[in-house]
Formats: sequence, C-alpha cells, structure tokens
Amino acid sequence: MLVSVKDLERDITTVHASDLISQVLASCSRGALWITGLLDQQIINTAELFDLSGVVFIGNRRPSADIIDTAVEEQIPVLVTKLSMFEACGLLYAEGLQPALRS
Amino acid sequence: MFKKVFRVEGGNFQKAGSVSKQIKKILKQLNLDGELIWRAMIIAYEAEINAVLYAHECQVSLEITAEKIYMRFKDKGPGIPDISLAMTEGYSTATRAMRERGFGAGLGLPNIRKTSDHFEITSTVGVGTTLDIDLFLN
Repeated sequence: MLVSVKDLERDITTVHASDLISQVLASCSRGALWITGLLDQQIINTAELFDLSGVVFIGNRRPSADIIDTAVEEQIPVLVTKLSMFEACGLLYAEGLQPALRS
Repeated sequence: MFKKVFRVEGGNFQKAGSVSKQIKKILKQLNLDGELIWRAMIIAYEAEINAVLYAHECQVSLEITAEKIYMRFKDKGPGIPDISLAMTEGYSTATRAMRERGFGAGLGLPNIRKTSDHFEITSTVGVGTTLDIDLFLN
C-alpha cells in the first residue's frame, strides 16, 4: 500500500478494471475499486470525482511522486501489486467481488 | 439562486479536472444528494476533458436553483462538423496522444446526454461548441 487514508474501514464489493478513463466515466458505478495499468495524473482526479474506493496499479508499476501527492491530498488509497491485470482480477473475482456496473 | 462562472484552458492537462473539483465542492456544500453530485461530475468532467482535448478555451457557467442544476459549457474551438456522428458511441477524432492518456474512446458526448435530464448541443465549425445541460433536483 503506497497511500493510506484516515478512513480505511470501508467495504468494497465491486471492481472496475481498465486503462481507459473514458470507460470509468461511461460505465463504472460508485464505490468501486479501480485496477489499472495507466499511470496518469488524471487517475486520482477521476477516482476522487467519481467516489471510487481506491486505485490498484498492476504489474509493479510505481506511480510518480505527483500522483502519490495528489492521492494523499484527495485521500484516495493507492496500492501497487506485482500481479498482472489478469491475475489481480482473477483473484478478486474468486473472492466474490462483483463487476462495477451501472444500473 | 447560486451562480458562478469558471474557465477551462484548452490543452492544459495539469489543470484538467480542477473546474469539476470546484463544482463538486460547491454541490457538496449545498448538501445535495450524493447520487446527483456523482451525475453532475460525470457531465462536468466529460465536458471539461473535451474542452482540454479539443478547444482553445471554454467558459463554464453553473447555476443552481431550487429545481435544478444548470451547466453551460461554451467553448472557442474547431467546432463539430457532424453532430449526429459525434453523438455516436465509439466515434472519436482523438489523437494517439489523447488515447495514451486514457481518453478518446468516443464515449464522452453520448455519456453526457445519457446522464443529463435535458441536453442541448450547438456547434459552429471554426467558432466553437456549446452544451446546455439540466439536472433536476427531484
């Protein structure tokens, strides 16, 4: 975990996985955990604006200091995993997490 | 009635999202419903990103009354030659650089229309594009 927040006691039931911000805007529901390989400053802005629970960067990709600073400021939890997108999604799916779809 | 005008700078990715953030703050201070704020953010952020990607500048007017949130995005830019094509999901004129930033999937304008209670778009090639959007409070 790279960025922790004051309130970490929240239940996450849905996951969105993509490298497209456009897709988060078009189809992701509130409260989801976002798994992505895209390292862009707008990731954290997007997570904050759309009430996402946190961001997981896959493939051991380390976000820049700018991204981390923004996450601390916006109180968005940020995690990094060595797993690939496929493995990370498979693991969470097996644990019973659901796709973050809009009703 | 609450009224405020913001300005989005075309091409400035450093500041992209800052107007949406300010609008979110205002809507939260007014204690509006979380789901409504979330919908307003889809519209504001999509439109703000469009302005950063395509326009020279964009004036954002926010008005909040007892009945609705009204947002107008009036940009100076290239305009849209074929609006019905631009409103088609998946159609995009985005460059590779825009796609590498995670944008340009051709979902923006259709998503704004889908999320709005009332949506109007007008555009003049070589002048700019204007979006008028209502979100009703009830």
